[in-house]
Amino acid sequence: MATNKNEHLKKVLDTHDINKVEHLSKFIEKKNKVKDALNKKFSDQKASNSIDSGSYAKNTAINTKFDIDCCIPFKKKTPGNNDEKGFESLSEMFDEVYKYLKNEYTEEDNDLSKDNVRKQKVSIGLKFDIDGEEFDMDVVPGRERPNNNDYNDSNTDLSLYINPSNRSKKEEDEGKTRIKTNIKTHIGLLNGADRTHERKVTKLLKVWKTERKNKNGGKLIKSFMMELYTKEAFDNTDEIPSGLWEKTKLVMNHIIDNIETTDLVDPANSSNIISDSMSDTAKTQTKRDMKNTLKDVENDSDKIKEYFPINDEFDNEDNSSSNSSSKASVLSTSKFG
Amino acid sequence: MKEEDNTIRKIYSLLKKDKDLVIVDTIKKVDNYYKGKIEVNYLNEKLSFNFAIPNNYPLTHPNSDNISIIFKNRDYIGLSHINPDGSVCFHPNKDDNFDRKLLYEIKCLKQWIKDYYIYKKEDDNYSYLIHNTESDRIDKLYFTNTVNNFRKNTFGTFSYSIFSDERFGTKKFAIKKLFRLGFEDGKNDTWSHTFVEELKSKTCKKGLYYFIEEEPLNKKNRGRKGIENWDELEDYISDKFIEYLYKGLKGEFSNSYYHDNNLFLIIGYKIPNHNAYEEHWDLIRIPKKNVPIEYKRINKSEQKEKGLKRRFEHSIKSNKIHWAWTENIDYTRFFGRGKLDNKITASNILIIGCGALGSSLAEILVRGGAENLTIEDFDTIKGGNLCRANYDLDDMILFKTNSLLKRLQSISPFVSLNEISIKLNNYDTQNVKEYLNKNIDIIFDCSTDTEVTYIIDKINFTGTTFSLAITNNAKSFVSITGNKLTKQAKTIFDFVENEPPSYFEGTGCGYPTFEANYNDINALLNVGIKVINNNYSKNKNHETFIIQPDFGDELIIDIEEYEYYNLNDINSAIHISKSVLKRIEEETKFHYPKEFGGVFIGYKTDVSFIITDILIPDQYKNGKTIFVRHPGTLNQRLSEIHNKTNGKIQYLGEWHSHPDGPTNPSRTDINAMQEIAKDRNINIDKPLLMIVEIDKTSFGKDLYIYDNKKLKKYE
Repeated sequence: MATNKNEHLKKVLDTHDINKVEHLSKFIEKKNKVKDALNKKFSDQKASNSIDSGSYAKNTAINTKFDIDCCIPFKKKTPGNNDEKGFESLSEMFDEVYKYLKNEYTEEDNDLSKDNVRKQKVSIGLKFDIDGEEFDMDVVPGRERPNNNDYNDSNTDLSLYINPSNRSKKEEDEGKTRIKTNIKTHIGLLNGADRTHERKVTKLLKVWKTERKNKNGGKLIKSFMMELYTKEAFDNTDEIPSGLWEKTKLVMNHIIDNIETTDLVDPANSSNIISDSMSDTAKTQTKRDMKNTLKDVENDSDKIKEYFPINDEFDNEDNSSSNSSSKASVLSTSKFG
Repeated sequence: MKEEDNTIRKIYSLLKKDKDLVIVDTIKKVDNYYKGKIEVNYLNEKLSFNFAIPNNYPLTHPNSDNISIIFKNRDYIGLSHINPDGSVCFHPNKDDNFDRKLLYEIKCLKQWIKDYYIYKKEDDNYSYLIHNTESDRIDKLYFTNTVNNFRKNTFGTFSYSIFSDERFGTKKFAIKKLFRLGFEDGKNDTWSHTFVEELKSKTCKKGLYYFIEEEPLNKKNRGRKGIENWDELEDYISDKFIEYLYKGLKGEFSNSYYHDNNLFLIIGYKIPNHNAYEEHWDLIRIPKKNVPIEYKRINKSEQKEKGLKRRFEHSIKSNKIHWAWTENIDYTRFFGRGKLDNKITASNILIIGCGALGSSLAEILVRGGAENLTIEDFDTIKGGNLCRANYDLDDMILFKTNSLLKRLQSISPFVSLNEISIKLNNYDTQNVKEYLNKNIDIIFDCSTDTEVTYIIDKINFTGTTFSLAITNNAKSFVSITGNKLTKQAKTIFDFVENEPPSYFEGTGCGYPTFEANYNDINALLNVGIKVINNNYSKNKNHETFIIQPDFGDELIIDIEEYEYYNLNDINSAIHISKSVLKRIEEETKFHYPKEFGGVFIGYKTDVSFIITDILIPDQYKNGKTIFVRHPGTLNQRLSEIHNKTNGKIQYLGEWHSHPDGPTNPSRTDINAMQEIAKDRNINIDKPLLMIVEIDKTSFGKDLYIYDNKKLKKYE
């Protein structure tokens, strides 16, 4: 019997619901603890309290792949001005946060050891062990711009430090050490009632990507790019199609049409070409995978289960009520008088 | 006093059991509540709540929708499941055990904190923004789903009609109902043509619209809280609009923009619906005398610094926004809870006859979502025909059509109505033919006037007709459909127990009418419309059907549909009950691959037959190409039936199957029928024969009558 694609996709969303993660509350608790610690330690240098970041904050997380991160915006100290608070250089900012987390924070948190505090490209990665459960979290230090005390509700631009050892070839060639962006803009990209359907499609594409990676490995399109493409696809269409599958198709076709040819620009900084961080091979691979997926599913609706699998861990199909029995009664001869 | 202290102590001890709770204030009894304040430390988040436990706890508040302990904090307004007053909205299970219920409600509170404060869980359905609307008046704008595809920051004018403007009660509470007509540079609302005319006949005014695209939220708030002041709105509107609004309010807007010295502004944004997004609009009242915009002159240096072209600035004051109300009553919502099938509601419908049946039917159709209705009747309403029809005292003396029209219009803004106050036979048949075939898709004939079916039969109407009637004392409800309506009616009404009308108005004179009360009529009419709607929604053929309530020893309402076959040569016709056909199919399938058969019983007048039932023989022999029916107990049964129905129901003919074979009668079949026709003991000299073609999956049939030594086939 042909699979009802929309019903199946709905089930995919339900079984991948982030709120089903068993230890989610512990992870949130931990994230809040780190935020509080950072706010306290850098109470003078921070431009505002830490903000939530990562897919969890964006409301696009799935329970098989999620990021519960945070970003701490710092003030910019004008060189030579000792009355001002903040950091003069980005590398100093990055290192201070790293040192604090590695040396001081680990002293007050048993779930984190020094070895598990690592420098990443623009963030510091923390790998917690909470009662046997592993929890990874990124802390992104950012610095206000353009000048001291310019950070406020209407100006949330930040400069991030790029760790030299983690740069891509292109970035190395360009000698890039910093990146201007806006975490709040990224978080708000698919936020709000007017992006409800976009969030659903983004989650489905993440499920697709995770499955492709499990099956074939290789490098595929970054989640952030999928989010940007989803937004673009919805904004550019004349009429939003009906049904989860048609909407997913809309975005996948948009990616297929644009990934190799058009630049994808950071909404927070038009000089950042997000698509440059992806290699041409990865782009071609993604395009090919998406094309195959669409073709296979259109030919045989059952295939959708392979490309967009349900998370079995959270699939509770057997709703057998205790009132009904599993088969009918079978009678023999009864004699009455 | 002592009891209250005990309760307070009990609450203390229960709250202390939860390590995440801290009791901040002493718990006191204030009026009908035990009030206090708690702090909850959960998942490294600290929240505080004022709580109020009703004094009759664990019972819930009287006169409310399952409200138990109130946990309140105005700071959380805007988060999911927080009421406009800041209380957490949940409906706990009822319990009569104080301790258990209190601990359970604390658990519910923590669940709320987890799901909606920390996790910020998204509910599946969108919940509308709640604004602080004005409490001393209600201005409400009704609109439909317009698809303007406005870009963000588009603004302009829209028009609306003042549908009603009334004051209620001793305090003269003002309620205004406004209906939007459409946008000046955009689409019109999708009210029906007739309703738009009604709206335009009332006072109409202009308002302003501004499409902000995203919800007007207080951005600092943790949840989704609507903005309250004009300076918060500034984040969402362009300088160009501010200037336009200012100039307008200061004199450029004419009187047509104001109603009672108020200008109405609607703010539009996208909200998700099940499939995509729709435009939603919130309403703001701007009193002419209280302009929320200031105009400031600035000095040259400030002008240079800000890079402005002119030496003044408009700035928005921090006045409170006068939020009013809106409601989207688009057709899909208005009839969202249930409507009749689209094939009915989208059709052009004509109701002939607006008496007991017609007037109630019209309301059923309109409440069911009908969009195009024409009603016809020549009669007026009298005291005597009011009670079981859809009229009231104000309608007496007036024309039925006119009164019914007004009533229907006051129910739905989506129906276009027409009336014809003259009998159909007044018009030239050719004109009637042209008019009906061009303009009408479905006719409901509720006239009980045979001339109507004469006319419809004659003009070869291209749509579908349902000729409805109720017999005396509401013993039957009949719906006749298909071709030859008049002929069908005659046979059916002869068959159905139909006493002549008996009720004479007053002391007599004039035509008698049938008796039946309002409930009896509507009980049957409602079921009849349900049958018709069911056939439309399942795409089944419409057949003539009869509904008969049979309240004897058992309570049964019998619904029987009949397939109709004609043999024009000899002006013969058969109505065969669909449940008979179903039984025949079951019996013949059971015996497949052997032949099987039985006899028909039913009603006949001349050569019009109504097959109502079959008799299964208890003595027979059957094989693949042979079926021998012995009388067995058949004769006994026929005799019983004859006695019971006073000869009305009798033997009509035979049926049998040809497994895998065609439905053509064999030589044997013809001979058998010849014998039956000649048999003097058999009352019928033109017996019927049905041959059924059967295999594992399909069922086909043909009907024949033995007449003039031949078996003639029905179409």
